[in-house]
Amino acid sequence: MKKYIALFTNGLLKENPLLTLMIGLCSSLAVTTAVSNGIGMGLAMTFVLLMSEILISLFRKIIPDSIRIPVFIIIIATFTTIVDLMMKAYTPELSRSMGVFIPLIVVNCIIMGRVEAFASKNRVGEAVADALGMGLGYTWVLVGISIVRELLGAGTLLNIRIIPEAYTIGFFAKAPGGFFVFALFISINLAVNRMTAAGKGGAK
Amino acid sequence: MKTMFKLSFSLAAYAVVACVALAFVYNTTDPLIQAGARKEVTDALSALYPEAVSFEDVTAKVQSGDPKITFDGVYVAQSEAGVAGIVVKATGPTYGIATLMVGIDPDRSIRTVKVLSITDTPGLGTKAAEEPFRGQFDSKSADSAFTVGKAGSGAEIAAISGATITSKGFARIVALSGSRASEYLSQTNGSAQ
Repeated sequence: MKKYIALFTNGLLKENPLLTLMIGLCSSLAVTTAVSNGIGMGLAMTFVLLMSEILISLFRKIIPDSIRIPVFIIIIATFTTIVDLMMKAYTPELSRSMGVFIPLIVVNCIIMGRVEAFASKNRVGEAVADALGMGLGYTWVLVGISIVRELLGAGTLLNIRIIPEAYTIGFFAKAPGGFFVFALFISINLAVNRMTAAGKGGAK
Repeated sequence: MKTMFKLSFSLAAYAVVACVALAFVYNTTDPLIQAGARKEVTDALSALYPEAVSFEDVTAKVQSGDPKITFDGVYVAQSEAGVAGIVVKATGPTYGIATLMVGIDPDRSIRTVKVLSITDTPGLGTKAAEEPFRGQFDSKSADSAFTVGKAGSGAEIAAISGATITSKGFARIVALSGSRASEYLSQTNGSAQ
């Protein structure tokens, strides 16, 4: 059990795909102008990652090594298309505001990376813990960035006005603002990691 | 040779399973997606013709005849009293590209023009979506020439200052939509009544 918790928190903080591994950045910067987008994208991504890791981990012994990448892509693309169709059918508004970034989950390097580096070598239980950790790690960073950007850029949170329109900073709604907020998150995460590492060192 | 067959066979097997799974998902979600898209169009059309009870899609029967301007959709609004008007969703060049929704009444007058999207220069060309420019088309006859000129020069449409190309392109889309749609309406109405 401890092993699974370690794998889960690993993705959540220590090896957070966005803040530490720094993969899958383009989608995260592009959609984080609104909190609802951040939540939607994060959950869509977590679902695809989880399902792909489970399937690939289950079939890892019978996927021929020389064609494993095409097989991975077929599996990932299938789940991405399922998510895309579901979102179009049940949450058309959200699907429209995410645009092309949902289909682009297919080529998201977090999924390709985790599937190749982890799921294809480990058992299902571990793959589930890894997928949930990485997926939710991606989601919380996305939601965090989009909270800052939506609050400062548009003055709203989940479309509820909090700051009067005259006091919003449009810069944060644009791509450069996204980079700034993202850099801030990276540095905070690094600082926290250093502090916890130093604390452990002191306890010894 | 043998491994090649083995590999292609297993790749094909994965692809087949994936396709079957997707076919199931597609069959359940497609009706919902279609219904959503139809509702979206109807909502937009109802904004122009609130009195209409149904909209008939006649897109295939009305051509713009101009290679640069495309009619994305043409709908006849049917109210309880008969034909209430016709709506054209047209995309054409302004300074950038504009997609407009033009409503034309059966008496060949433009009911109103709605700007769905316009990619012109912000602050200049995008003023086409605002008053007073946009409102100038309301209740003009679809047969008028829609000449564009400076305000006070006697032209039917006063151009946006600094965005003459936008103004002309905009007027051209409205004029073409108006003439083609009212042409269609008078033909079909003539035969039906």
